[in-house]
Amino acid sequence: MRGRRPPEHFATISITSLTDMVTVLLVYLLKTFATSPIEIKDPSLELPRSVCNPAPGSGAKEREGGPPPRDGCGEIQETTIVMVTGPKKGRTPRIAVNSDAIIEMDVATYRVPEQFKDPQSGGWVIIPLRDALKRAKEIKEISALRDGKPFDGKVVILADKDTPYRVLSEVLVTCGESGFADFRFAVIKPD
Amino acid sequence: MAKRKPSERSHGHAPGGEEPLDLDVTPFLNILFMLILSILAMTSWTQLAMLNVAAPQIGGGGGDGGAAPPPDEASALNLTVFVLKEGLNIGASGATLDGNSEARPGQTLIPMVSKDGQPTYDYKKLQERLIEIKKSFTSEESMIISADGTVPYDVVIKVMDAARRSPDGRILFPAVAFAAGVVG
Repeated sequence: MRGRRPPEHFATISITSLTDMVTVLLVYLLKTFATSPIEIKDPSLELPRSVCNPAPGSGAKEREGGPPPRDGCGEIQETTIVMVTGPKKGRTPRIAVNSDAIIEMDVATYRVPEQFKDPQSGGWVIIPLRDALKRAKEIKEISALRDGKPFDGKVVILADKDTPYRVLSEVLVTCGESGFADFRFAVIKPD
Repeated sequence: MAKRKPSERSHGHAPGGEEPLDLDVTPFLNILFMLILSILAMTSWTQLAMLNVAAPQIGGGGGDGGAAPPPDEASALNLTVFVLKEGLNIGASGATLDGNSEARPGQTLIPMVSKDGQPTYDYKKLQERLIEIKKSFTSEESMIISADGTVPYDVVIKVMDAARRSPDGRILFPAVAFAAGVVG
């Protein structure tokens, strides 16, 4: 109809209640906000799940020089990381130190190729990994010296849950050879 | 213009048709949404923990490592859990494990069990046996894991979980070391 006039007021949605809701959500999220010193962004790394549920604050105690938890189940700490990824999503399994890829494993056998191994160690020491860890150790030693603390030799192993035991033992032996003898396995805590 | 009562003023639109003074909360809301998104992105949803393990024991190697902690002198039992392809086995070089007359270090194999149609290791049975062993060796806390080369890491973690604490919370054998010599 021609003579129709536009309505004087448009119906406005009251966003006050929405603002309330969003604020409550924000407060809730801030409260449950949690960060982890180790971030996993690699989709080919699926950590195993464990029933290990460390006591809150145990990590801080250990950092201050206290003894490690008696049941061997501690909080995650920031230290040298050795990562062993799996053959997921068509990716080649790799071994990385502090997120720098060191070697690629054989996809078919899921093992470290023989040419990377030190024959003098009976095929247990992975040479490129040992070299990378020795470099990482030098850096850690310098920073430990600056802090006035002894080098602790801690290393966190982030391994895919399908990693064969043979590869795992080779990684552990190589870490031990390079001077990192305090191994920690990163696992997912129960919900 | 007639003065309105405060109760009328607070409502969106006055019957008279004048624009009421309304706070524009849209930019505020935008900021809040951005904050929520950034917090959601920064939060780590998978919470990680760490399991302490001791150095693997290998005969050779040599090298210039030297940082390996000395082996636990008090550990005389040498309790070893073997993760084989066909099941789990417990052995010890320091003493016989069964309380029975069979004077041999070791126990019978814990066979695989079927779970959802898939053969899996019987961690429950392993834990029951470890609880039995702990009753005889109350001060012992160390254990060695030796596994077949093809055994996945997940199984190793499950064995460590079974050996750490009994269901009632008592500590069993949390000090785990790895034997690099692969069995089977």
